[in-house]
Amino acid sequence: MRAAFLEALLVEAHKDTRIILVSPDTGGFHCETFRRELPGQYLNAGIAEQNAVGIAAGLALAGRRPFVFNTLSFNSFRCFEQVRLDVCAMRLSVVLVGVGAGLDYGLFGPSHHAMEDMSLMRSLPDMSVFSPADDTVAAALVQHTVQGGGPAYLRLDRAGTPLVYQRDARIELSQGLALLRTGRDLLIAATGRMVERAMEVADTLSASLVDTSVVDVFRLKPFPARRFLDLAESCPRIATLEEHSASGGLGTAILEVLADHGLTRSVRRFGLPDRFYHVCGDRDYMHKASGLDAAALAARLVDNRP
Amino acid sequence: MNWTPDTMPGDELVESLKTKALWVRQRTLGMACRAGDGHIASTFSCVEILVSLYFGGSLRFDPAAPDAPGRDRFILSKAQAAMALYAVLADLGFFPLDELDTFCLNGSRLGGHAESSTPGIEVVSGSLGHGLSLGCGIALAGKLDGASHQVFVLVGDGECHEGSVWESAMFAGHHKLSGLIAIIDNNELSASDRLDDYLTLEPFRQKWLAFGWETLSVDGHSIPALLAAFRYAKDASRERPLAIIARTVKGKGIRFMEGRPDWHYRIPVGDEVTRARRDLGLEEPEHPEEEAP
Repeated sequence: MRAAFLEALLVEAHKDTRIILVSPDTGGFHCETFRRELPGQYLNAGIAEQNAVGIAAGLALAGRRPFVFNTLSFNSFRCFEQVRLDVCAMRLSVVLVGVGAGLDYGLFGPSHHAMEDMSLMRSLPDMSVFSPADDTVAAALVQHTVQGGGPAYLRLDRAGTPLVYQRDARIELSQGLALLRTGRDLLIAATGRMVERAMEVADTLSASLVDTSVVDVFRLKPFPARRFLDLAESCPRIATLEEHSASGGLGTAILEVLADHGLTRSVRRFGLPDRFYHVCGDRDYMHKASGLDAAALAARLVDNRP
Repeated sequence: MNWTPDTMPGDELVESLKTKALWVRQRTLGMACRAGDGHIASTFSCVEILVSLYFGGSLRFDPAAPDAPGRDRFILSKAQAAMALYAVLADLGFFPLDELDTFCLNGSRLGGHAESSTPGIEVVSGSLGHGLSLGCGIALAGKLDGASHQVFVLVGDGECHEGSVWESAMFAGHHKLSGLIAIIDNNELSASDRLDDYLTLEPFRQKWLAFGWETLSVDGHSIPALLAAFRYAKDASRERPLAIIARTVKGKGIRFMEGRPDWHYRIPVGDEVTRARRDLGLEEPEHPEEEAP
């Protein structure tokens, strides 16, 4: 996903010289092509995330379109106040691109586990929060955020496969969500890496005669409320699935929308537990340890277990 | 820098700026007393700096076109001194003078910390350690564009405890952002104490030099010295970012406030109002109710 995004950014930056890739010394290897082809549009700001975001805001004040590219934890937690005040409070067109959603960096310990970022970013006025499911969406978000302007936060994985969408698929990004599968019994709303997992769960559930819809919510803010409610109205049960703390992210956003519109549905939230992980493991291992593997999720949904 | 007869400002200009500085103190004292809020002592330590910058002819701006691309930028990073900037900008016509009377009142855009919805204010501020990073970004864009505008950032000395100040200082030094000028209001006090008593910045000038900056040390209440420093800042042959370390006195102009940490937050009441006004050459209270304890 990181590679597909940077490739798309390079194409766009060739056309739009306002674009500047600001990296707090991250992704040197991955940014190499960009740096070689457009050295004047690449800035290594050093391992100084607060300053990097402040500089990006200053560049945006001067008419540039900065993309701040960094490991996800350091692009959200370390510099949150700069994101809040320097970027959002001035509604500047700065795009924060974080790599390593959820437990993508499971082996690297609590510093790199990004479990609370969507909750933080979603709380910021004027921020747009995107969580793509695969390479196709991640790449398309480059042009979408440049055209849309304003502050944006992108939550990427390192790998962007398996693909949920065809590589050349035209996705209506302005819709904020996409219905991938239609069923009558259960609606699973998922985001990021968990979209593909939701499809797998839906396949498993069909064996138990649970007819399942899957919707990919790739924009958490502004939340596509109307379009989501249209889907929710036709389904008695909803499950939310995200590789993020179960509090503050997609599940919370959906509960807010349902409550605000007076729509009563049975909702189950599946996400990361409210604790730090003091063991390391690869992503699959960590998902299994968190009950987010497809078999466990399907079982929990069939039996209605917590 | 060399002081030569051509760089020495004329007496007439200096006298008019002294009068302006006194007016800014008088006006902002009234604003703070009316609102019962504001940082008077922080404001008073940088009055001559702001007056010399805006009225001395160095800073390029147009109140009728506050967003003109070629303008010099001024960022008040020590945003608690917003009152002084409001008074200067209103006097220059960026917004109506009588709007100053709304300072820190419900519904006013002139809050305790400056923000960019007010004409002439470049950025949202109020959290320390942000202004120099923003200045770096603007100055870097200007350098890449070959533009001639400059970015002046007024930083508090206590603010230099923030690590982000040194992140940006290192960045500006490395990139030789000669269009970036940091003015440090070096009043030696922060909100609660003397800096040297709890976390010294010394050797301060050497720190800036070590980060690749050029430095000037000036009396921050001397208008001729400040005018000369700002004139030097405009020298196009400079190659490094410039730190103007302005030695100041917190609360300057009101004797019982000068150099006293407890006046960081306080607003005068009762007899203090009379004494403060007297120090600023105002005999009778502007608002009799301010006399009440």
